[in-house]
Order: sequence, then C-alpha cells, then structure tokens
Amino acid sequence: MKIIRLHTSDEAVIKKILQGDSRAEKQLYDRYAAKMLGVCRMYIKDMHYAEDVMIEGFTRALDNLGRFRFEGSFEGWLRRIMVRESIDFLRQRTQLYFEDITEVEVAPVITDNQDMDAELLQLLIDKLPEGYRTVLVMFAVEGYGHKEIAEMLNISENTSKSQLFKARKQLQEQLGKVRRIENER
Amino acid sequence: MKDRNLEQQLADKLGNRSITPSAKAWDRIANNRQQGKTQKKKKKVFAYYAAAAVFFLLASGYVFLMQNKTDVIITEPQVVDGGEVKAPVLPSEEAVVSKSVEIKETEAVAYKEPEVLVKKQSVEVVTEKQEMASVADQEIVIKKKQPEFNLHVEPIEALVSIEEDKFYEQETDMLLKEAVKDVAANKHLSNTTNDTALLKEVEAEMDEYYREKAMSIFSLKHKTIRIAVKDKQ
Repeated sequence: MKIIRLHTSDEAVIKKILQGDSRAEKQLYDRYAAKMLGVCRMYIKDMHYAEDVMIEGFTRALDNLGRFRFEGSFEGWLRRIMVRESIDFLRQRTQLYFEDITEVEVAPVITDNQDMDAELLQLLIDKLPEGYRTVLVMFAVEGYGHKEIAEMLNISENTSKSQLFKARKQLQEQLGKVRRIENER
Repeated sequence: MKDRNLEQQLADKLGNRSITPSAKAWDRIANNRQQGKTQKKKKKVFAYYAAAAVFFLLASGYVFLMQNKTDVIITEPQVVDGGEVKAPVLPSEEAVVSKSVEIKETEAVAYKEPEVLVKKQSVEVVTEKQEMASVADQEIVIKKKQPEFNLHVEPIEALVSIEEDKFYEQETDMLLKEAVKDVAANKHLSNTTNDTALLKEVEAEMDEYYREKAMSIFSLKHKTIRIAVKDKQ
C-alpha cells in the first residue's frame, strides 16, 4: 500500500527551497501568506500597503532562508520579519510618532460580556494613532516585553510604557462610545 | 460569559487572523526574487572585473619597477689597493640582483701578472717622492695605468644588474680618492686655482651626467614601448 503524504513539514519544504526548488517556495507561500498578511494588517491600516509589506517581507524571508537555524518555529521567525517590515514601512512614511507622558500604568481594558469579532477589534485599533497601535499590538498580540519593543522601535522603555498607557486609555473611550451606540439601539 | 480582557481578545482573534492576499501577490514575490538573483549575478561579475583590474594594476606596477633596473657591464678592474689587484669592483653585494658574477680560474690567475707591475709602480712613486712616504701606506688608486693593465689582464665581462645611483656613488668615491693621491703627489699644486672656473666645470659635468642619464632612461622606455607595440601587432 502506498502512503501519500499530504502535509510536508516546514523543515522539509525549506530544505527543498534551499536546494533550488521553486515549487517549494510557492508551497511555503501558500501556507503562510494569509497569516502574514493578517500580521501586517494589524500595523498598517491600508490593505494595499499591508499587502505590499507582506510581499517585501516574504521576499526577504526567502532571500535569507539560509539563515534560519531551525531552532524555533518557522512561523515565529517569519512573523518577526513581518513585524520588522511593518515598522520599517511606518518609519519610512514618518507615521510612527511617539510622545512621552508621565503616567505609565493603566489597567487592561475590560469588555464586559462582549465577545467582539475580529473586524470590530481591527476597527478599534485602526482608530488609534500609529505609535499607540504599534506598541499595543507588539505588546498584546505578539507578546513582546517593553525592553524588546524599546529596542525594536528605537525608543526608551518608558516611552513604550506610556504609549501602551495612552493606547489603553483611548481604547477604553472608544469602547464606551460603542456601548452607548448599542444601548441606543 | 465572563468578562474578557480586550487585549486577550486582540491576541486571540487578530493574532491568528488570516487575510487572503490578491492573486498577483505571488507573481510579485517571484518577480522580486528573479530581480534579486540578476542583481546578485551583476554584483558577482563586477567583483570579478574589479579583481582583474587590481591584478592588472599590480602586475603593470611590478613590470614598471623591473624595467627601471638596468644592466651594467664592467669590463675591467679599476682599483689597485696597495699593490693588490682586486676583482672588478661591484657597488655592493646587495646591488647584485639578477645574476651572480662568476670569475673563472684562468681569469683569476691572469690577475696575478699586473699585481707585480703595479707593485713596481707603487715602489717608483715612493722612491721618487720621499715626502709621500706616509701617503704611500694608504690606498693608492692608479687609474692612468689602466690601459697597460688591460694588456696583461684578459678582459672580464661580467653582466651585473645594479642600481645606477649606487654605482655612481662608488665612482665618485673612487675619483675623490684619485684626486687625493694626485694632490699628495703634487701633480696639480703648481697650478693656480680659480673657484668660479672650477664650479662652472663641475656644473657642466653634472649637466652632462644628468643629460646622459635622462637620455638613457628615455631610450630604454622607447625601446620598451616599441617592443610592447610590436607584441600587440
């Protein structure tokens, strides 16, 4: 009986790519492109720009695939590339602005009993300024610490904390507005 | 349902969200990759050209340096030191680059004959001029006798590659020594000296020397260029 393997591991696909197999490149793209576009979209409001950044990030990842050491997950490695590409994009367009404030602690935003869908969440964070949104997504979604965020964005740890504080505050205000609109209905 | 932290919701829902890219996205990635490969190739070709250019420059510099060294032929011994005949005087051992000087045994034997002659001459100098006794112990350079010397000594031709400057320094030293001996022998003491005339004479000699040197370099370069052009044709 012949066993047909339906799923090839990332490692096997990467090794094929390193041997010059262009079909394996496409296979890797099909596997991760949609997820990575989702990552870029969190940082960049405009969908077309987000796709441009995803394409640049994927090209860079394929060009530097030889540097991947198989020590962690490939998805994590690719995700980091996408985050860096997104940050670079925002920097180039001078959309990334950080302001320092003194208060640095605020409680996470509680959403009562609401289980919000992804589109609404995206809408909420899209309304935040670039600097707030970037720090919030890096902290809450990607799981980076303030030290790491500070290094990646070339800012101080306190600035990172203050950006998160502001982001949370604004999110709280926006949620209040959403609740009011829902109550009116 | 429990209250949920908004940030947790962000992580759960946005962190794993997938958005299908447009159909042309892959084509663009493939195109970028292709462009990157051609650029890498161009860089490689440029690197090869650069390496070749550096190699060519180094090689031409080496050839140029080698051409500046000239071959000098010494045909006869020039210095007699206290009655001893020395082998052809070479500027220095370091100056000898391309070939070593080999003196055959027969030639070495042939040196012995003039040794006697020169000794006799040096004795004559001493007997005629008693006041020169102290000077006679020192080195005596007798250049005027060299034609006679050549009658007995087989001409030795040694092809020696030396640096010109060192050779002329040696020659200058030799001429100075000769002048000292002449003065000691009172040969020119009777003549009145004229500073200006002497200076002019020296200047004229130096001009001639540099002109000859320049001409020899020009002729050498001309020859090299002609050979190069001929090779190209």
